Amino acid sequence: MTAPAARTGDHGQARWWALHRVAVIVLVLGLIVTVVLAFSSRTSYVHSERRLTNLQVQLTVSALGIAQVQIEQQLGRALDLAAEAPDPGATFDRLIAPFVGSKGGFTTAGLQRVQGGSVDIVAHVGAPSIDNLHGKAAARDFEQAVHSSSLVTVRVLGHGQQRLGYLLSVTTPAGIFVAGAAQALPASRRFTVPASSPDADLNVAIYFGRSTSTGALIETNAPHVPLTGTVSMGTVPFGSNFLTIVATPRGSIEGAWAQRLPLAIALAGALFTLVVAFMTEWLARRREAAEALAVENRQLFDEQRGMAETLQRSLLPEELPTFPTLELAVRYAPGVAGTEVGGDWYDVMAVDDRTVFFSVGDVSGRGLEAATLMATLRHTINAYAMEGAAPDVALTKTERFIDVERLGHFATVLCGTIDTVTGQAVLCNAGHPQPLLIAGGTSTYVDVTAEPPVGVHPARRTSVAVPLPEHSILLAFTDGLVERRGELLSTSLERLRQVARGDLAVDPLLDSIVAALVPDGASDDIAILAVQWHR
Amino acid sequence: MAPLEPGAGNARIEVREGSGAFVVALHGEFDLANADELAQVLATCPPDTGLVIDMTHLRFMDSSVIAVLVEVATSGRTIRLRHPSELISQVIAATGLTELLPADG
Repeated sequence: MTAPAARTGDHGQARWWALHRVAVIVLVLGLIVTVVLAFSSRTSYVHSERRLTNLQVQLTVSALGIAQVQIEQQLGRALDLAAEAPDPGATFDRLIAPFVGSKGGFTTAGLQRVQGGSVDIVAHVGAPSIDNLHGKAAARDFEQAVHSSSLVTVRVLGHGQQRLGYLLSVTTPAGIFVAGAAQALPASRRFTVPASSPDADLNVAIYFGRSTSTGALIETNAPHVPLTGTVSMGTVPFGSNFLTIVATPRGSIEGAWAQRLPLAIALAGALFTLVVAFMTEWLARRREAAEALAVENRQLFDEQRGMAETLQRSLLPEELPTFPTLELAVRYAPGVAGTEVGGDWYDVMAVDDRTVFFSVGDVSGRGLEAATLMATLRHTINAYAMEGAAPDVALTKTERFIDVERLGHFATVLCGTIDTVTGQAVLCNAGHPQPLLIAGGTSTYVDVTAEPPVGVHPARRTSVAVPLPEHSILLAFTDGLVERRGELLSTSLERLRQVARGDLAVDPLLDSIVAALVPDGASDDIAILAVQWHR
Repeated sequence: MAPLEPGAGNARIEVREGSGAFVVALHGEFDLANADELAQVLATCPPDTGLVIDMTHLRFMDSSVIAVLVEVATSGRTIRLRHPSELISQVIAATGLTELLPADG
């Protein structure tokens, strides 16, 4: 016999860290879902940030466009009116003055007239000099302005200053008038944005031209350029030149919570996955333990049942006697209901060279006590029968050894002798089902009235002589064969009578009876004995 | 006396004192599982009075329960069965116990 407990021990200790496949699947699936969720949340966040930044850049671009239009209007109006006026210088002075100095956007403004190859300064307002316009590059810009009617924009560096210059020209019969204005920008190239501004969340850098090289930087509110991260860029025409706006979110436009959402999802998802995987593992182990226990119980049950059956069979006779005129067949089947050994038996022995003695009995109750009592009874009855006692005498004498009041058990016994030469049977019935006599295709119960069971000590026992017809079969059995809970005994017995009236030999007859009455095994024990007598 | 609840399922034993005898009423089904309960109840009844086993509501009993009744009957007490069903009567008769466990009236 194996030791189930050792198996369970191995199982419980050796692999406590080894996860069940289902828990691993839960863990992996949970982590995949978490990663996908966090990633898509992150993607959506980045996408949304980029969209918002783009929107902000577009707004800035629009604002710069408006600023250029304003400059063009202010400068253009003064230029046009001055060019038509009798005194262009005074008119220009008067019209441009509000936009120059601390009140306006320009630090300096002036008007020049190009006529016949000479350039005259007609008017000058504001800061002393725009003479930087007279360098080589400035001359090219001035030429450009002279030959164009649209705004020319210039970036002027020098003297620790950074300025944006604007040039606009108009052609009149009196010559070409060129209006110029300059706008000072912080030399630090830094500006601050009020916290209330929609741009407060952005780092913005504005470059002159299409390049974003550091040298082209006009101004920025970021501590460092170039800007990195989720960068948006926009370019806007600015007079004859371009401005490039680069922006990136400072912190998070959508707020800190939105920024941390992907991380939160990842952490919560991972935690949740771990908890679920842990619970799955725990449940899997519990189920495994329960299954192991069930298998163990099943094994124990089978073992006990096997022991009970082995014991029972060991108490039954190993060999049946042989007589030329007798065919014998026996069956024993333990009840399927429990593991306890029962007290049913059959027995056949030769008393002398022409007489056999048989008994079929049933000790009430179950268990080892019933089984040992069965063995005692069987051997005692046999002993008296062996000495030549008639069946009733054998039972009466046997009864000295069994007392229902003392033992709590009684036994029903059908026993008898058969003269194998004449076919004469002598039967005694102690509370046992009557035997069935099958002869000539019909079956009838032998009228051998049940007297009280062995153990009850009745006043008398009676033996009944029954002549067996040739080829007839005497069938003795215990009540487990026919008994159905809640059914009349007469109904049960009639079913057996109907089944057992064929014309079969003893062995196939018993097979057919068992198959018909207890196909799935009986709840109670069954012992059957069939005796066929031939002349 | 209050009803006693045997271990098995829906079975129930009621004991009451009748005229000159204790009446033990069995309800439901009795077998090996609750035969001991019945034995204990019968053992508590005074030995010098008769016993009437009321089987009006007894649906089934097996040989282990019959053994309990036979044990009491062979100890010298008078025991009578009241209203046993045909099912019970047949088992008693087939076991040859009709004289030891006679039916009441």
